[in-house]
Amino acid sequence: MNAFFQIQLLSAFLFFVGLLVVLLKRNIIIVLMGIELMLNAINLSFVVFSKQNYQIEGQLGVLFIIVIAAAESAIGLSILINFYRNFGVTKTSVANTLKG
Amino acid sequence: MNELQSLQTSLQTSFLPFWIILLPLIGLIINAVITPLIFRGVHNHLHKTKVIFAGSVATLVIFISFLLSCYAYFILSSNSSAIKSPSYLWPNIDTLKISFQLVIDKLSIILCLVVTAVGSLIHLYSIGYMGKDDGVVRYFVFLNLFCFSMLLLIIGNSLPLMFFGWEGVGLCSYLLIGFWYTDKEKLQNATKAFIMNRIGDIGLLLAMVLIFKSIGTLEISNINQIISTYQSTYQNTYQNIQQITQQTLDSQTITIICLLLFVGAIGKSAQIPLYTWLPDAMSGPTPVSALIHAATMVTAGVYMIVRFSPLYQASPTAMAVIATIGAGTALFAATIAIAQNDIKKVLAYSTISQLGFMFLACGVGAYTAAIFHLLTHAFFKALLFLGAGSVIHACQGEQDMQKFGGLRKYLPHTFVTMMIGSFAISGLPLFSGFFSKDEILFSVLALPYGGSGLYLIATITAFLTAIYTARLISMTFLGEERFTVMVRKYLHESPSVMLVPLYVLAFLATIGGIFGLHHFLVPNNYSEIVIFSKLPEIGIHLPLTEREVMISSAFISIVGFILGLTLFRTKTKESKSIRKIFKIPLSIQRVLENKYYVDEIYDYILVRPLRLFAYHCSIFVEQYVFDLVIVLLQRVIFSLGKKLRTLQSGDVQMYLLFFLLGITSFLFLALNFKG
Amino acid sequence: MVNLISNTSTSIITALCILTVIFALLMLFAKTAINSALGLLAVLLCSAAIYAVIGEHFVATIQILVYAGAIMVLFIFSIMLLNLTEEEKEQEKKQEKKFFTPHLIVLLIGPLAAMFAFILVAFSLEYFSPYVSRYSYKGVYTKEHIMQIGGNTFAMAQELFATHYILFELISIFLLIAMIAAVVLAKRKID
Repeated sequence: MNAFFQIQLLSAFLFFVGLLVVLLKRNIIIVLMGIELMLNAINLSFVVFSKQNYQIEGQLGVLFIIVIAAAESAIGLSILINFYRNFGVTKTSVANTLKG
Repeated sequence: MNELQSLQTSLQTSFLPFWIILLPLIGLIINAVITPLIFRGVHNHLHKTKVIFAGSVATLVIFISFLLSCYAYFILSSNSSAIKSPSYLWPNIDTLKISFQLVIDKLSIILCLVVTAVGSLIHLYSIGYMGKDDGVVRYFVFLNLFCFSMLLLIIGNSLPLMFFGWEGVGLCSYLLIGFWYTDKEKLQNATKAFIMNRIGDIGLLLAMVLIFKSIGTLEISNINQIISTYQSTYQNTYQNIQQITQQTLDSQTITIICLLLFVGAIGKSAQIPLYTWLPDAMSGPTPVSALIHAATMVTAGVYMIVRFSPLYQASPTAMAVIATIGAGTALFAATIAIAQNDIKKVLAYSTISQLGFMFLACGVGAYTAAIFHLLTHAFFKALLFLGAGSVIHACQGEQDMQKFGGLRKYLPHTFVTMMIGSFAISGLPLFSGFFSKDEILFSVLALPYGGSGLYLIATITAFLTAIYTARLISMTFLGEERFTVMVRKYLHESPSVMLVPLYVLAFLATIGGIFGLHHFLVPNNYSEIVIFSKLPEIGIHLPLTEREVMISSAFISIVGFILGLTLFRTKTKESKSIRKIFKIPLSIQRVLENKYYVDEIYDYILVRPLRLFAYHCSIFVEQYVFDLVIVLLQRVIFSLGKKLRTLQSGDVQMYLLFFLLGITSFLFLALNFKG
Repeated sequence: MVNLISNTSTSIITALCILTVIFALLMLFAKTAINSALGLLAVLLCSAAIYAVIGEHFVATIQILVYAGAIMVLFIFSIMLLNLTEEEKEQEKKQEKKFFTPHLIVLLIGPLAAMFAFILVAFSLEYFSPYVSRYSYKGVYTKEHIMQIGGNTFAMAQELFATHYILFELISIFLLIAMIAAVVLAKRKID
């Protein structure tokens, strides 16, 4: 099995672990971290593909993704602070206005 | 239709039959719709006007129908053989073509005249009798509905039409017996009448199905045509019958059809075993009893059998059954009538007995005699009932004969007319009943289907008839007065609106014998209407000749009548019971009084097991059907709903999951279906 | 099949992969938020190591600096700020059982496993099929070329500032907007 293939496999696995984290954890902070994990997995995939195909665009994509991830996590955390101010806890179950 | 036309001479098609039926319908609609509108919120001083208005409308339409029937009679007796109305195809499916057609031929014109004449007289009478009742408009509506259904039954040319009229008269019987519906017992009686009628209708329906299957048509004229052709063919040339009829027609089928039709007639005309509704039907108003349960509805069974006379001529078995049941019922009912104390019940059992006579006549083949007796019976029975109604009206609703007596002084007109009626029913010579009854007796003796045994039974019944009718007269009008002081204070003769019908009927009952129906009902073509069995010529050996029969029946009736009058006349304040007079033990008198306990037997054998079964069934259904199926259904839906509720938990992560599932499947499908 | 990396690198990469997996699972099954954060941090560091072994030095550095250094610190700060009290922890434990219902797990595992299998199959098909010419779309940046230019960073810079400069400008504006947005959102509302 090629090394690159292993990394691609890893990327897929990390993506799904991140997905599970997003779906299964009840703490919003951990959910946001799961999103970061997913993005990281995508980074891995981009890098490996660019290396396999002797290109550099993949790495550029990674750069941008990292930048965007940083911005998104910053904004996400500020939303989280607002959430905490409104509800007092950081559980996902309190945000159930769509219920019913 | 073309073959039929070629056979009958001078056929007429007109709208006259439609008008005869339509007039009662118009009267009915006027009384049902317009009269309540005119007299809405009526106060007491307008009640009389309402009664007169509604009553006149109802009487007028029936009277005009009567005039139209007279006109039809004149047309028929001149030269045509039948008046047909235009026919409309009612259901027109592939093999089932039932046409809505009304035919007035010589048989139905007699009944039309009877129904409309007696009907209009009874409508007139009802204006006086029901004058103080609150529901009088409803009463006239129902009476008109009854006349409409009866006329439809009589002149409808197809079995479904006749059945429509059959059911209609049954319905009106129910409505009118239970007219005073606030009394629960009257309602029960009405239901009993309707249900027993219905039981008979099963036979009629089965007969219709069988007729359609084996003969192929439901038109009465066609049926009679086919059967008489079948008869002549079968008897004369032994040809292959299958050329004429369907393959399934044979004599056994004809017998079954006849018996099934007779079952229907049993239910309608109160023969054994379906007769118990008729005495209980007396809880309706007396004019209703007169019209429906004496003159017209109960004779529908006889009419139907005479209508299908070619069918019955082809089946000796059925005729034997009819004759036996008719004779048995006549004797049975006469024995009960002697012991009854209610004036209307006596007349009810008398009706059953006379109907038995009519069926006996049909059963031996003397169809013309049966119709003749139907005609005269309508006159004198209606007369007797109306007179009884007059007595009841005068005595403030008292019906027990043991509380009557000596009313001759106070109700002279009623007395005279009822005497004439009782003469007629007993068969005293030269009254109408004498001629019809004598004809039946002679036919029973003389015709090949009859016999001495039946003649003996019929003679005994005639004797008993005279006795109980005379008993009725004697207990009511003659002897010492047995009524209370309160009744005595208000005793008055009936108003003239009630007396005029009595006198007209008395007149008809007297001269009714001249309607010598022999010559009217038998045209040149025998097979058209009724089969007329030729009476044997003089010289053939018979137990008695016609003259002897006539003399003996006259003698028996006179003797019986005088016996009845004298035996039951009271000199003291107490009425005589038959136990003392005939020296029979008390137990037998009780048995006769309680009508042989037939109602109680029916209750134990039929009604109670059925109720028990229904009760257990209902419990079973409650337990197993409801608790199992329905509660199960509820639980399933509930739990399904509960599970589906998780879809809308408000949990964002759950939503995300379904989001993902959707995207995955979409992607999967999109990637798999290339191009 | 061209060997792009040496055999020892392959085994290092394998080891790093396994490590990453372990840390990711640690993050998934952690009981507290801080444990999850530490797991994520470890994953990020291992990813950086993988980038480095492959030869993407620039990306590895950026990963450590930005991702592990800034974002994770931000996360740990917020965990520290929104500290859970004792009773909330107990309530969380009580509610934990309600969430992990069996049918939820079944619902999750099924499609995810399907997705995983799908990708696996797709990868292996692409890998094992003889008709698809791998490496058909090739660029010029082989290892030798990169070494010739002057390293990974130099190549990246060349691409970024010459060919894709508009993107670079846009991303900087984007960062500005994000900064403003974060400050506005987190501000304490006066009225």
